[in-house]
Amino acid sequence: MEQTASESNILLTVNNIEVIYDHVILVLKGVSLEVPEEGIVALLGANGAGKTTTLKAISNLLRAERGDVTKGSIEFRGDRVDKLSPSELVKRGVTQVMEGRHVFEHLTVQENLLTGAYTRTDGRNAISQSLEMVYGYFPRLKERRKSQAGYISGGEQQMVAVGRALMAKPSVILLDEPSMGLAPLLVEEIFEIVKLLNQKEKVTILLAEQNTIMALKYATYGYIMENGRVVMDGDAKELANNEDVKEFYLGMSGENRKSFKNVKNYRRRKRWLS
Amino acid sequence: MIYRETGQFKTTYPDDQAIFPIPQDRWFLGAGLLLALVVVPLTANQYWLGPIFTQFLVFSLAAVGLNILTGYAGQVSLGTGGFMAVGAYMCYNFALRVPELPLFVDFIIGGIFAALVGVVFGLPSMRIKGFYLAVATLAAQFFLLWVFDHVGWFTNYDPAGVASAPSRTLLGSWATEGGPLSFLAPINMMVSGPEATPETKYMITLVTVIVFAVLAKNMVRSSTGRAWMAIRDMDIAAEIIGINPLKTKISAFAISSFYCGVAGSLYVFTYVGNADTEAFDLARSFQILFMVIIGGLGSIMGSFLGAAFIVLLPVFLNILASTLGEGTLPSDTLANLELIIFGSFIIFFLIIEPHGFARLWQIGKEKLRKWPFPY
Amino acid sequence: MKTIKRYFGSVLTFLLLVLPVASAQAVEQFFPMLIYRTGPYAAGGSGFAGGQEDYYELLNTRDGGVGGVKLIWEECETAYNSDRGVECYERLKGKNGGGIVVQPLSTGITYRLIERATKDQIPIMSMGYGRTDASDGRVFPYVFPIVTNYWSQNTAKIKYIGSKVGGMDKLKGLKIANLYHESSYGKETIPVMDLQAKKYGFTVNHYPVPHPGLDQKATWLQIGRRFKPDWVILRGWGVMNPTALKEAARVGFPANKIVGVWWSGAEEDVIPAGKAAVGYVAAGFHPSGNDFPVIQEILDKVHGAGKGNITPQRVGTIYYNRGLIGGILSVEAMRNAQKKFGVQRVTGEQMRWGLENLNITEARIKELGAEGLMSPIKISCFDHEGGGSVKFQEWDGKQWKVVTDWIETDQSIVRPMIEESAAKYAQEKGITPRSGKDSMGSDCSTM
Repeated sequence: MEQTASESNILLTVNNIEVIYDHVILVLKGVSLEVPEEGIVALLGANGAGKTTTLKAISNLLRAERGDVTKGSIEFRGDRVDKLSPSELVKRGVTQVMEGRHVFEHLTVQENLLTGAYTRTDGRNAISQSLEMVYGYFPRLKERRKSQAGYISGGEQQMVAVGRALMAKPSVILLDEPSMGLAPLLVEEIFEIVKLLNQKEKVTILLAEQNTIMALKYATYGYIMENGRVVMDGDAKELANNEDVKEFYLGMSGENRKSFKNVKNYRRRKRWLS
Repeated sequence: MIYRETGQFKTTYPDDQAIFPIPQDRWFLGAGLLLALVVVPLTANQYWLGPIFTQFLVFSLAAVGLNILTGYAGQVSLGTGGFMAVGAYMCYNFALRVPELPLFVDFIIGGIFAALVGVVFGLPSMRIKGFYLAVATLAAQFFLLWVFDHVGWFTNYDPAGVASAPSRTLLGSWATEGGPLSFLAPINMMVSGPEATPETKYMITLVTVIVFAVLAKNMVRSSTGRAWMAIRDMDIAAEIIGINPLKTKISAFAISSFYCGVAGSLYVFTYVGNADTEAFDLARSFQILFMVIIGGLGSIMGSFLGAAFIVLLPVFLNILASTLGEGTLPSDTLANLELIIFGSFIIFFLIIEPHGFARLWQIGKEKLRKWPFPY
Repeated sequence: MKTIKRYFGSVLTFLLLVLPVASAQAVEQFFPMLIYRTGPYAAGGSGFAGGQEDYYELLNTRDGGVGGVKLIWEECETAYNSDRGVECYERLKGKNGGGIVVQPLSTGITYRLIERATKDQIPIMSMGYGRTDASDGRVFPYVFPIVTNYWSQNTAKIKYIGSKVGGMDKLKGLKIANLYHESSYGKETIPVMDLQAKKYGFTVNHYPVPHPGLDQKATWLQIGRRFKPDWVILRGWGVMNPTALKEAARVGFPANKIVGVWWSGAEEDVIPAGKAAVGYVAAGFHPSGNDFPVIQEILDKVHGAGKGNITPQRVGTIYYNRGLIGGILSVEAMRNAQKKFGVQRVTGEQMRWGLENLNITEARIKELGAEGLMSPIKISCFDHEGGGSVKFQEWDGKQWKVVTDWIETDQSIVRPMIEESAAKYAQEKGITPRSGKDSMGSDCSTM
């Protein structure tokens, strides 16, 4: 990991954070990760592993859900950002696309996109340029720009959510579960666009996903979480070829199914980063 | 340390699903009941028994009622005062006109009438939700009080519209000396009117409140209660799994209004002794709504905490101000200062715990479990 | 944990503070004060309390108390709220050897205290408010709606209107609107108005105004545009009064055709209405002003010594003077009881006798330095009201000017209603009305 990180600039560093909900429920038990500039980093793991909590800890949305980062630090471009408000973070260039999309149902598609530019101060022209850019990536949204966001399809809503995040001109997007509830073809379409954004617009992506195959296909680097800890990390290609990952997340294995005894064995073998 | 659960094992499902699965909780509750049932009546004077404890209990019951509707079934209501008035006036009329009935039956009758009226005013909840429903129940509040103000029969044609509780016994006039049930006379105590002792009034109120609170606690743990909460959390999902929204919402309105009606009856008979519609005005509805919000929506225990806060804190502040503030500030300033302090308390508690005292209590317990080794 | 400990600690200290402390039994007489200095009726509550307390203070500084007994009192804020009123009564009634008379200062609270006070043997003095039929002392031994009750006052108002239109027979065919505060206080006069309407042949419509009375637009539109009455009787309280006057001006109803009750006739009720109040007439059983020897003495000895219980500017206002009269009446009743029973400290029961046999003559009023401030009063078991009469005063924009002489109330209408209503109450409650002489020596055998 140290090697990969040193190749390019580290944009975002999460350093051994611990998150407690409601003062009593310990959710993250020391998570560390690094996101290099212009990379696509995937955060993988089963339900309840702590992916979303990690993203929310970075964008400081935990307080609304009665959670709290009690230990560790989060740095963005070398500055501590764990005490900044979510809106301040957006101004600095960290935008999150929440799981389940959360579009503003009663606004039209175009109004939704324009709300994304709320924090920008660079004038109307720049904003309409961005709007055209978003419509360029998502031509489907242009057709639907006058429709109420509550009445468009799930895939289109996901596009609105990503497009809205783009409107803030972010340097990093925290993308939470973009594949949720979408047909495989659509998932692929959205991932393609994300990849394109990453290449053309130089947007750094931190992606939390359950769809491991898809995520590792597009990401450059991956972290695997389990039970509030990072248990494995590595280059996306290496991870995709890792026997254990294949076995547990990709459902592929050359041999027959391993017995339950070996599952426990795997748990013993997992690597602890913190 | 006190709250360590280590070593407590449950071997059956009923054990695990008991109202209070943790022995410590049971001990606390037992101690509380002992205090309320034995220590208070033996030691408290008339002042503490009457306007302090009895008042607290009456409003707790109303708060439990509203909490069933608003906290559990998620239907906002501003008609609590009106429903209490229905209970109060119907109970008054039955007690006045049918003295043979035992008084506790009158309480139930008051509650049943309130439930019927609650059902009628709950019907709009089929189509309207949230703020709009609140406005609809506001109509209930105004309409009901208007009826009690303008139909003389309800107040027995009293010129000032005051229903004054007649002297009635717990088991009715048949159970007095010389009546057909005279063998019951020794236990047939006077509950209302000037001859009834504050101790009796307190005990009757307390027993009623305990019985109904236990019933409520069990109700919200039953399938009825789960249906209410399902409707509250997501009505469409509830409908999909076969919960009938009409039946569920109406049952919440009925049971909630029943509780409010009984509380209204107790207000007239065991607490104040009489009432006019002023006692059940919109301010009352808001007062009880605040109890529920500050105590904690969706918590029986929270209703009690909220009632204690709203009813008792101003009294304590007043006593404190008149004891400590004597001669320090002009009385006008002192009186207004009390209101300011009371308001600040509300804001303070809502800031440290937006979900009310019940949640605060729960978090406190969780912390006690971990204490002295928190994360 | 620390906060919890601190919390329990403060609760404990709190309990220690509030538990009744047995005080040394000096020769003191305790007057519980149920007052209100907050809310929409604060002007009335604070003015009344100021007058009453200043009078007690005057007696303490000037005479060393009453018959050697120092007067002490304690306030409790009811906020005009009935629940708080009951709580205050229960809190104060047993303090300092026990209260001997309670003035609830609210009709609603009076109603809630009747049974309690009767059982505790503490007389209720509801001076110019409260339950009207309690004037029948045979059924209500402990309740004194002293001076004049609402029904009596209402007959005086109709008489005043009669005098304005040129005789009682001219009332026939007139239209009168009764604008009332929707509470037990406001509703109290509806039956007597209906009866008078039948007797004199005028039409009366009743218009309720819900507490606190700030929204009267629709009501006044109805009155001014639809009903178009010749007169309006205003039974308001607190902020309802100036609002009513302003709304009347808005719909073009003349202020001099509005007759207010005495709870609508203070400076605080008209000044906020500004010009709209000029010409408005209100009833009163006493005038305003500080031109009376007793008030001059209070300004000199109490306020002069910095012991005043109200800002000196408010001394002599209507509510202040009313509180002062309340103080005078309660102290006179206490003197009465002291004399009769030969004691210094009186009990509630003795105080009741003192009130029931109160007879304040013109000569006594002069002695008290209150000549012109109050009219003579004579209470009996049969009549707990005392047959006071009413004066009407007009607001000229600066002060209240008395415009009539004392107008007698019409007991031929009121008394049978009182007796009927009291008898119904007695029957409902299973009370046997007193008759003959009772053990304390009150005579209930004749009028």
